[in-house]
Amino acid sequence: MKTAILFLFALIPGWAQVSTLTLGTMLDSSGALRPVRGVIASATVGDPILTDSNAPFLSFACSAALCLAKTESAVVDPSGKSPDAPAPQGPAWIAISGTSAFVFFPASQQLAVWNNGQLTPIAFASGGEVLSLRATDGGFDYAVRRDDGVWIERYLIGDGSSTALGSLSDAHDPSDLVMLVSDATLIAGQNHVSIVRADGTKSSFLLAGATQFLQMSGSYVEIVTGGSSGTAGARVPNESAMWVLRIDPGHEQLAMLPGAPPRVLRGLPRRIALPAPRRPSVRATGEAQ
Amino acid sequence: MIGRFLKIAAIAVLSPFALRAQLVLSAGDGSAETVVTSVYGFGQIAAGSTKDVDFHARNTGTSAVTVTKLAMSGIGFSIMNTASIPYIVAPGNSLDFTMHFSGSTVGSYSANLQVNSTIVLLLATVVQGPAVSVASPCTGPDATGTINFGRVQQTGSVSCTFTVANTGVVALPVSPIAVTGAGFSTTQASAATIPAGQNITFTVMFSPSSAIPYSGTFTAGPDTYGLSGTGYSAPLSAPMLTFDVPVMSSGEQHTLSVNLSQPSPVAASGNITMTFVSSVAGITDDSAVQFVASGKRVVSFTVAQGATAVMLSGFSVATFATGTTAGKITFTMDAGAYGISGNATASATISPAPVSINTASTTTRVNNVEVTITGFDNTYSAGKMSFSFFDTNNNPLGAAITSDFTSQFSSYYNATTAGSGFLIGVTFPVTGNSALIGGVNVTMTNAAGTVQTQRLNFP
Repeated sequence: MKTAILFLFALIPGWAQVSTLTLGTMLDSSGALRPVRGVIASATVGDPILTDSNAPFLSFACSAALCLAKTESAVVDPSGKSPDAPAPQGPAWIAISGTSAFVFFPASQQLAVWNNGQLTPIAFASGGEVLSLRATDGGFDYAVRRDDGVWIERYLIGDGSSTALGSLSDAHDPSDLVMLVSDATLIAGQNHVSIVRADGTKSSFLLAGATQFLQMSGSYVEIVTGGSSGTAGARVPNESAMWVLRIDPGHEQLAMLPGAPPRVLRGLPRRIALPAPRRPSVRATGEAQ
Repeated sequence: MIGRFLKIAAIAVLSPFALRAQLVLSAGDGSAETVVTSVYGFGQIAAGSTKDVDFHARNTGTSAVTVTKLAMSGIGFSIMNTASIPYIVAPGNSLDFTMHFSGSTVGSYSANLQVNSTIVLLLATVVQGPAVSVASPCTGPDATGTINFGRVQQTGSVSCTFTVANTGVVALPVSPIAVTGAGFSTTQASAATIPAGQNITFTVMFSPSSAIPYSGTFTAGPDTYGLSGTGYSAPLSAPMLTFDVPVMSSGEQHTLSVNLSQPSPVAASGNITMTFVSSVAGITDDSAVQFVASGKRVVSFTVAQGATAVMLSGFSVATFATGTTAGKITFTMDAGAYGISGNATASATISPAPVSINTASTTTRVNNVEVTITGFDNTYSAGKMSFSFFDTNNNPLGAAITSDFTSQFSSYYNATTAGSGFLIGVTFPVTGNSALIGGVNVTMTNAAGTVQTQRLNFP
């Protein structure tokens, strides 16, 4: 068997694609979505991704397969592949699942499933303040703040049941931000941001004044800070800065996202396709020796 | 001319008796009037200048007098600011008017002023006016009549010698001699009489208390000149541009802070600019090298008077990215007009380094396996890769497979100026059971060395 595999490798050439390294998509201070390229601590920000309405975005989430963003009144697929879906006012918490997504509207406490530009309401009552959603097999997890703390619970679409998975002892302040990501929970306190893994391990970074978590891609989360002075030692270099947090286990890293000039809405294409994470700019074959 | 003069004089001598009965002519303002009988002299007047004298025809009698004639004949003189004639002057009141003289040519001037039957001879002499000149470091007067003291350091002082010359053939009274304007001063008396062909010299000082432009005036008799000068602050002392770490590498963010070696003499501001010079042939720039908060290569700074700490866009430090290209990043501080003494630059060298691998992953498909690696190569010379496969029992599957993807990397890098970040996916077709492949070690080689991934397991 070993010999057979060796034989196959020895004869069959491999080929390679080299393409742009993309961290994901960020929301800039003017409400525009922009692609972020490069490496985490030396990234560059691309031109705004314009949509038909040109309305500023309030929140968004991106994965390798899908990006969804929320304007004041619609859920938008920035790639333009799906129509805008009218939606309740305010931001939305978006949990992408493949090419669809769960979308929660905190202002109206409504939940819906987005699929191909259509929002289908789902009966859901959290009994508290929903802070974040994370898609799972058969449903989603959600973080909810109640009088007795922040809880993570699992909602199953099939039977509409909710099950408590545990509480977040680190998110004790009502102003703490919470975000559920694939295998961890992000918590932003007054002066720090922590990544709490399912096994209880935690990575923390000094960062004051976080006001918003945004899912840039599967590996990166944008953190918006709002100018809080925090305490000594906290990294507050800009009154309204954007940060990027790498959440890959063992590779956690925090860096500042480049500031971007205000978006120009005139003279640019109406719609720019989102950069595909692995879209090759060069494709060529190489000979395996 | 002489005959005419005698005729006028005779009239002047005969007429006062009648006038005294009712009207008395005087000159000057109310506090210093002098009775004018037959002749009134305007004195010496600088060429091109004018002189006005107020006259009053006062009724000293007990009954009203009607002025039916107020006239003047002669060159250089004119009647101004008077009431219309005929004019009834009540007892104790007066008819007031102004005699204006203007002469541009040096010489003697005369005219007859007639009030009713009274005629007064007016005399004036136009002389060459004072000539003003200044010595270095002052310049001027220029075409606009301005004398410039130049730039003087704040709280410092500069003195200039002013010369006022009488180029005429008679003594010239110059009054006033005056300096006005904040920052300008002189010890010269307020008036002087300069003998014919002589001059006077004196000192005018400019002492700016602030780093701002100053203006004033210098008056010598009939002529007024502008004074100008600019105060400037002492330059900022040598700045110390400091990084958070002594050695930097690509793909990092660091902070720059700036302190002055001495307290700033003034509240100052300016910019710090970063420039990047690539050490990689064919790579001219890396746009990821920037101040991160702004996404630009310039940051503004301010420093308070008396402070040594320089604030960068309002903060004590500025975060910058080193990019992903080997080269040299230089920071240059520019305080503009405030100036800086000493070296105002600092540099950080980003050395060539082996490929930095950001992520490495594998994918197993039915007919192939794929290895995906992201990272950056600050030498832009990557291409040679080696793949050592292992079975699910960690036994090597033959010799390492080496490939050279230099051309792919080169083509990719030729199309970008945003750094050397890359994503490479390498696919190996498999016609057998790919599930038997357990893992792979990957090495990447560039001009600075070779790196190897940890064992990548196939799912």
